[in-house]
This record gives sequence, structure tokens and C-alpha cells, in this order.
Amino acid sequence: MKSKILIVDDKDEFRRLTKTILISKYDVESTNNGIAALSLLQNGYRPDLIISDIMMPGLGGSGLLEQLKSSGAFNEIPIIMLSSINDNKVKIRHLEMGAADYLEKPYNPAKLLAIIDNIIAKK
Amino acid sequence: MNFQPADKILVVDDNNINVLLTVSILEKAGFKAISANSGVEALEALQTHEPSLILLDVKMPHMSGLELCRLLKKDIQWKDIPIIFLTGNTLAEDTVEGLEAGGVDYITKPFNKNVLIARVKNHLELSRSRKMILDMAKTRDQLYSIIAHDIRSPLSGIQQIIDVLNLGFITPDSNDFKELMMQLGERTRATTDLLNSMLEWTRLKNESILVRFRSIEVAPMLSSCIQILEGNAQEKNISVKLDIAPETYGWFDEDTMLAVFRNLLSNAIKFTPAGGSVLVACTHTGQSVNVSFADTGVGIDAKTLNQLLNTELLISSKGTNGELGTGFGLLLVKDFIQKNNGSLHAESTPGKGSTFIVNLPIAKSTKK
Repeated sequence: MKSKILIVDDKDEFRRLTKTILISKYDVESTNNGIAALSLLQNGYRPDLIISDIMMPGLGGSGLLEQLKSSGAFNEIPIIMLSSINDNKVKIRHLEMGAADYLEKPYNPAKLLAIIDNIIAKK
Repeated sequence: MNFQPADKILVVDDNNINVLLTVSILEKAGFKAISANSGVEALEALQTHEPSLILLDVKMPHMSGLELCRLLKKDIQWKDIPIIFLTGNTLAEDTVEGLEAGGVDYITKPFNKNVLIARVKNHLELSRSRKMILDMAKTRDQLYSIIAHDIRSPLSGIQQIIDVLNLGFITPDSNDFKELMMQLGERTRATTDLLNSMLEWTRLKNESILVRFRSIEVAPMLSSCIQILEGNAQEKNISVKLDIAPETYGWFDEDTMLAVFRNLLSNAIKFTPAGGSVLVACTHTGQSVNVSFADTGVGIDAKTLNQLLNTELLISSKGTNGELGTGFGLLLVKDFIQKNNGSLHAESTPGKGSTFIVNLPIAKSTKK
């Protein structure tokens, strides 16, 4: 069975692109902000990995990361941050908060695939 | 020199003769002067007046000039008003104490009236330059944050699409390719729009220092706004109605207010679903002209509305047709209304629509 990946991004093109890149190897869902992602999880959807943007209306990626890492039920789901913010302080803060990795947009699709493969293989 | 005759100076001194003398010197030099006989009276005067400068006696009973000065320098609303101390004391340590309390200058009594006026003018000029520099720094910070987020983000989207295409994840004959091309086009257009409005904003922000107040009839301005945006309204089948009290004249700068009206109308159309309507109305009271833009659009919840009206940051939202907002429009609107001595109010019910109301000073030519 294919592993499940949830993409959280408010930009249509990024949701579509990332999905296109992952679709041949993974079972991909996508949604456009943190609140929608949380409600998917609360309704029983269990992804093996989440890829999240940071700047989104409503609940952004930092908030989503914080919520998931502090929850008992979802803190084991690895989260990769995918953002156009290239500030090292921001990157380090998210890694310290428990993000599995941080990739800058535009990202290298092969690198994203390799990172995902590593994370999922370890699980 | 470019001191403005309308500058208002507050004179604070417990000695009435000194007050009368100083006020008359200031008025002869073309300033407006208001006076207070104690620290408490000065604080009361500051509730209703916004002086450009304060001349402050050091020795007063109850609250001394130094105490009042320290108090004002702690308050965000008053801390930028330059304070010049007036005193009979010539001791160096007293001068130092006054300057350390936040005074910009120290004049000893009895003073020469020409010296007083020259110093007042210098400090007004300095304080104006200081304010201008702070404003410029704020504009610059806003531009940086826009470049950092709002332009980098769409550009990285564009770059990502190109990369994915180049790496062969998608083939040109697929449906995904077509969709992506459309999104690429939309992103590029939105980024260009953002750049254009950013440039317009900086241009108008710099030029708008030269606002020219005149008596302007409101009706032709609103009609021309409607004409400019007719296409946008027709595209969504939105009817725009005009209801204007005849011969209403406002006292404002035409160019900046035209930009305000155009932006508010454009927003009303943007946030109204197809088939809705927008009512542009203009009424007047004895003191002000009220121009309102009422739409039957998506509405705004109270928290967001409060944010929109009170922040100086960019807040962008998508229109009902997916029109991309840049957040610049409302920033510009608020800036310009303020420069025209007006105010902006809004009411909104989510799902029902919003009304934005601009109050502007009325001009005498208005028909009663």
C-alpha cells in the first residue's frame, strides 16, 4: 500500500505541482490552510507525512506545527516545512519546534522526493 | 522660509503678563498661539489642540515645567512635540536638567523677541524634517516587507512551475500542463499588478506631500470613477447606482481623493458576487461631505474590519471572482483620507455586504 502524504498550501499552483511530483509514488491529499488540515485529521485521516507551507491565511504552518507537536494523537506525524521564507532564523525555529525538515521554495523536486523517501523509510 | 503660518504654539507660564507678551510676539510673527497658566491647564489644552511646539516656563507652582515635560515625553501622542523652556534661571546645571528632561532648547528671560521667533522657526523646521524622515523609514520598511513576502512568494511559484516542467515531471500534452500554464499566467499578472500598485503607492506617497486643497464638486468625480470601473462591474453583472445631493462641494485635493474613491469603488465591485449591486451616495451635513460605497457583497467580520481600518500593514484578500488583492488599495485610501483631513468609517455584515463611508471637510460653495 502506498504511504499517504498531506500537502497544506494556500497557493493553488504549489498544491498542484507538489501533488504532480509525488503522485506516482504516494497517495496524496491536499488542503489550503492549517485549520482545514486539522479538521481532516480530526475526521480520521491519518497521513504518514505532512508537507506544509508557512504563510497561510487562518492557521499558518507554524501554528499547525505547534498544534500537532503538542497534541498526543498527532505528534508522531513528520512535518516538512516548504516556504519561500529563506531566513535562517525562521528555518532553525521551525526545526527546533519539531519540523522534520525545511525546504525553501522554489524547491528541487528530486531533493524533496529523496527527503520524503528517507523519512518514510525510517518510520 | 518654509515655516507654515498656521503653526500653533502653546505657551505655558504661570505669570499672566509673560503669557500675554509671548502670545503677542508669536501672533505678530504669524503664528497661532494658545496659552495655559499651569501644567494642568496645559494638559487640558492638549486634549483639544495639537500644537506644533510648546514654550514652557520652568518654574510653576504644583507641576513644574520639568515635570510636565517629562510627562509629555512619555506619551506616544505628545512625545514628538518640541518643547522650548523659558526661564529666568541662567545656571548651567538647570539648563542641562531641562534639556535632559526632553526639551529641545532653553531660552532665558528676558528674551529678545527676534531670537525667540528664530529659535521657534528652527525647531519647527527640525521637527518637521524629523517627522518626514520617520515617515520615510516607515514606508521603506513596508516596501521591504512587501518585497520579502508578497513578491518573492509569487516569483518562487513561477520558478517552481518552470523547474517542474524542465525536469519533465509534466509533459506539454497533459491536462496538468494546461492548468499550470493558466496558473503561471495568473501569477505573473498578479505579480505585475502588485509591482504596479507598489510603484503607484510610492509615487503618490511622495507627490502627495503637495496636496492642493480646493473647493471640488463631488458628483463629477464619482461619475468618472464609475466610468473607469464600468468594465469591471459589467463583467460580473453588477449594477452601480449613484445617489448624490446636487451641488455638493468638498474642501480637498482632487488627485488623491480620486484615487480614494476609485479604490473604494473597485473594492466594492471586487467583493460583490455576480448579479449584486453597489450604491455610491453622497450627502452633506453642515460640516462635512459624506461619500459612501455600499455593496451587497461578501461582507467582513468585525475583527477583520477593525484590523483593516486600524492597521498600517498590508492585508490582502481574494475577490469573489478570484481577483487577487494586494492590500495596497486600503493602505493608500487611509493615507490619503488622512492627508485630506477626512475620516474613514465602515459597517459590514458577513454575507450581506459592506458600506465604507468617507467624511471630508465641506466647502462653502455647497448648496444648502
